[in-house]
Amino acid sequence: LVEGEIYARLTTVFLNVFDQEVALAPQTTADDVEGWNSLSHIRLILAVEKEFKVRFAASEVGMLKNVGELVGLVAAKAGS
Amino acid sequence: VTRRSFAQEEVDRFGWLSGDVNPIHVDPVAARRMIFNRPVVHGIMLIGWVLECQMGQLARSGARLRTMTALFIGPVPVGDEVTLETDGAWPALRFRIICGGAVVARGSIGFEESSAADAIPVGQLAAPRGPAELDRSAFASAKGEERLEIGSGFEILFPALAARLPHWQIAVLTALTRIVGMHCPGLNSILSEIDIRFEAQPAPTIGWKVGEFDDRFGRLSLDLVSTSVTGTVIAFERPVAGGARPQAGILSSIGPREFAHFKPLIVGATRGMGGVLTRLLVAGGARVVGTFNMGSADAATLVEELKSGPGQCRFEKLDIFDRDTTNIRRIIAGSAGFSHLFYTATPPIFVGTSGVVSNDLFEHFLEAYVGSFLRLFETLEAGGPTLAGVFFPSSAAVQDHQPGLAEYAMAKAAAEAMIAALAARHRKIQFLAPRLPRLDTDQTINRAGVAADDPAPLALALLRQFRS
Repeated sequence: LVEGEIYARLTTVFLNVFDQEVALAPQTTADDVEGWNSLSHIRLILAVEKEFKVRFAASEVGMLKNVGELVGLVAAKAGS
Repeated sequence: VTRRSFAQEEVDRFGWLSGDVNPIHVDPVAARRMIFNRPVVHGIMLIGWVLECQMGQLARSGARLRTMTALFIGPVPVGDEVTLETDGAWPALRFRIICGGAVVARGSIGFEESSAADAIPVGQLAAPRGPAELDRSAFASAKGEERLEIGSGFEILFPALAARLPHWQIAVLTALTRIVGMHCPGLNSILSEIDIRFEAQPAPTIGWKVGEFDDRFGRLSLDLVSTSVTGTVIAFERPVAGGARPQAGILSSIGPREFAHFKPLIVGATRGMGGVLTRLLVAGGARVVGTFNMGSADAATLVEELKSGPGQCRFEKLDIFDRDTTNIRRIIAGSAGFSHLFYTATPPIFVGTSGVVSNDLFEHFLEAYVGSFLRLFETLEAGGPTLAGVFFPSSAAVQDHQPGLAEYAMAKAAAEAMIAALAARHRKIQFLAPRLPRLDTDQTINRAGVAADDPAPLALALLRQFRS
């Protein structure tokens, strides 16, 4: 998986989870997306797992600071 | 667009008629110690409101529900204004509920034509007992059967709905909130999603079972099995606070006379950082006077817990927002002079909205941390110069921006400047105003795994910074 493809597929995941278009960048955080709270974060993570066929540990998910780190985690898990 | 708020009496009534009397909805004191820091409206009560608005406009005499999806994104606190936005036309409707500037729920409802007659009689719900406290290990195999019953008074809350929707369908909806809030996960629960389809054949009961439990996030998927309704309900195990009670190892490291020279006033002493400080100081032989605002039961529990000493504690009620200082002066007069002031009282912290800076919310925090503190400090000083130390917790959020905490951090920054000014004027008093990290208290409970430190070791290190 290349980063560009991860961002493209993540954009669709964000649209489904948050019901809005989000222009994703590495520095995008919960501050930038309406409705990104602790519970919708879990919905996002589950949707990401389904999209990329990966599985995260709860501790990995809690440490994420921004979308860049999420993409990095997906890339590492998906074996790219 | 329609607006309203839900009063506590209305939410209480919905609790009784649905059978979901989970304290997060109906017990303001208990709800203050839970994840949202306030009582919140049942998600199904919000759905009832959406349906009431639709039924009120309906040209037909009655309708039936066919499908329903709902996603509960954030809490609707009791008393807060909510706005309903709908689009689409009969028989398909999409809705969004907005509270505090953010979408807190959205979903869709499919109707079909029907006469309003009930297909089956709906029973009267018995007075509900308290919610179950299921152990995590029991989630995966949990299942049950709910009778379709409603308590009396539904027509008072939602008259158009009661007149035009089959009561068994209303009973299905109230059964959903009862299943999640009272049975599984029960006490520690949050309703998250509903995706159901009503079948033509009503039945006296609906069966449910846990289809999937994701223990990483405490997420349960409940399958509904019935001739009257099928589908899925997603709920979360609501996280609870960990750190109020220090571990035995910490307590046993404190000398029984280590804090015997302390005669502290701890404002907000029953919970969070204040509760930890109270326990540590009593373990070190201090004679603590603590204050509470809402938690008289918590105070009584703490007195019982700490009665064997070595120190002592007693409690007084104090509302920090009370501008009349009579009560503060009464508390001072009843003491032998306080040596230390610990100002750990706080309104709910996690109430801001990401990406929004609210001046009203900032002023609320400013009154809590600056206005109310100054009033208390000056009243104490006016009673005589007994204070040797002041502890005022600031926050790491002052330097490290955290989503939704802007107003809180702004007010804490102002309070730091206040403490610096007071320290310059009162040189005999030792002021400690450290920027604390996020601590594991009932204010910081969350499910996304944001790290929170155990407050006890930190609190003990701070106490030991006070000169003896």
